[in-house]
Amino acid sequence: MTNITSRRQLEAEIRRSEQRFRQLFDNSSDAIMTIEPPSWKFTTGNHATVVMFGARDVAQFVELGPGELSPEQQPDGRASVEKAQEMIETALRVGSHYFEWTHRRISGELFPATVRLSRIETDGKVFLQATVRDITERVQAEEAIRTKSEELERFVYTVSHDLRSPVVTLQTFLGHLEQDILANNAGRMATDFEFMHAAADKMAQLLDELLKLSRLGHQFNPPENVLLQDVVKEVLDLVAGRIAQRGVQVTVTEEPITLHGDRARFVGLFQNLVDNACKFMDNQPAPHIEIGVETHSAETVFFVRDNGSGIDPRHQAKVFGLFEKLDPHIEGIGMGLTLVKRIVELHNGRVWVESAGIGQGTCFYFTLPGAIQQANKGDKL
Amino acid sequence: MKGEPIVVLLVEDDAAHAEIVRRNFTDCRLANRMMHVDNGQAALDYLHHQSEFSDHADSPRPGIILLDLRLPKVNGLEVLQHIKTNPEFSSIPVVVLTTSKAEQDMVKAYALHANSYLVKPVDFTKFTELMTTFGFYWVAWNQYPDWSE
Repeated sequence: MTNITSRRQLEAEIRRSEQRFRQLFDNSSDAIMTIEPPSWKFTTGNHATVVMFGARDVAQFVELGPGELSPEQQPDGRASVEKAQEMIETALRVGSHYFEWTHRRISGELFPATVRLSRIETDGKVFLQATVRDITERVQAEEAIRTKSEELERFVYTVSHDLRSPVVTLQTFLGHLEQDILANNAGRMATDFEFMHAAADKMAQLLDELLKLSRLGHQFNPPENVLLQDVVKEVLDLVAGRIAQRGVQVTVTEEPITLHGDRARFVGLFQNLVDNACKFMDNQPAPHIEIGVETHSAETVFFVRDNGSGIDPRHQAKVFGLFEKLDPHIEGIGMGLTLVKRIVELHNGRVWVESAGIGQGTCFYFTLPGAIQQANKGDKL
Repeated sequence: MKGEPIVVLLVEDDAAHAEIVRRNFTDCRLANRMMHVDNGQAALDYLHHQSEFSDHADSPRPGIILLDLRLPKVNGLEVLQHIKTNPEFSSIPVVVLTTSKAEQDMVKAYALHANSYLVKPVDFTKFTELMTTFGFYWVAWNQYPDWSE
């Protein structure tokens, strides 16, 4: 009697213990699976494994091996099957092996992961436990940091070069001025002053614009819902002088679009584009600017189109670069489109330019998903 | 054509810096003809006698090119690469004249076979000295074959 009772108690204890470990295994957010010889296919996988690889259930998952859940090749160019075999052998020999691996979900989508393979031995049978962690977010964050730091490096390079340039001018013409005063060369003195003024103005302008660019990252005004047409109206008032001077006809879409964010930024965005379009009208007898919206595969795309001087396709890639100017004779320091790009990126958007070439007009397209999604959310509230 | 002063092609977008070079050449009384273009595309058009430089008389072959790096449209390194990979122009000495002291620019310029790399000094006397030295070395002393032969 006692024997049976204690055996039942023991069995219940074992069941509880197994349940506890089963729960630990199933509820782990890391994907845990086992791989066994001789086929080295997966033999079990927890819930996280099924979700991570996008399998229907454990049954579907265990039909697969590491080779089927990896691309043909790893990022280092080695064949996945061959490299997986090497990883397995290392884990068996050393006891545990940790490495980065590119996996493939059943849908075909690739994702970066870390893998720990641990050698386990029970009842004289050897198998491996694999713990796989999806590191997509970490890799994306690292990539974002790398992009930012490259951007910063380019920025420092550009700024140091472009600020140095007017200093060279000032110093040199100051020297010329001293000589010209001694020689009483009034004609040259006037030119000296002209160049010095221009250089000093340029430095002031560069510093102002740099400040604008650095402030862009911080939001000063509380976000609000604004109608595209209201933003454009404000912009057209701001650049009214230039528009009137050049006799530009402006047409604006009537489609009601609500943007959510810092109104001043939206104004800055459109102002730079409209201002730019006015500047590059060339000798177009009937200058025209169209501000509108199109839908490209369910995405709202804004555009500012002009019939002005156009951009040579060879130089289009450069227009968004800091202090890049395609025409040195046009006023400005080449910051406008850099600002445009920054504002668009702050709203998770993209900006691009299309122009058939010189004299063919230009169209700047951009998306503002951040501003549109949030405005839609606001509408529903 | 031997004995003709060589043509210096200055590729410089900054009008003030172009004026500095021009004044120095004038002050040195160096017999040379300075031609000036203000962007990289214009430099290529000049060499190939294209667009506004289609008249060969207005775009004589330069004996030496003074090249800024940060240029509109086509940048200085691109111009340099074009010149040095084109057999028709690769023998023309190219002297980089820039405000950039960046190591990466120097390395790239020499890798593309720049013949010299000069940094514009932030000092009147030094700039004058540099241009005078440049003028004497490359224009007065350096010997060039007769390009027209």
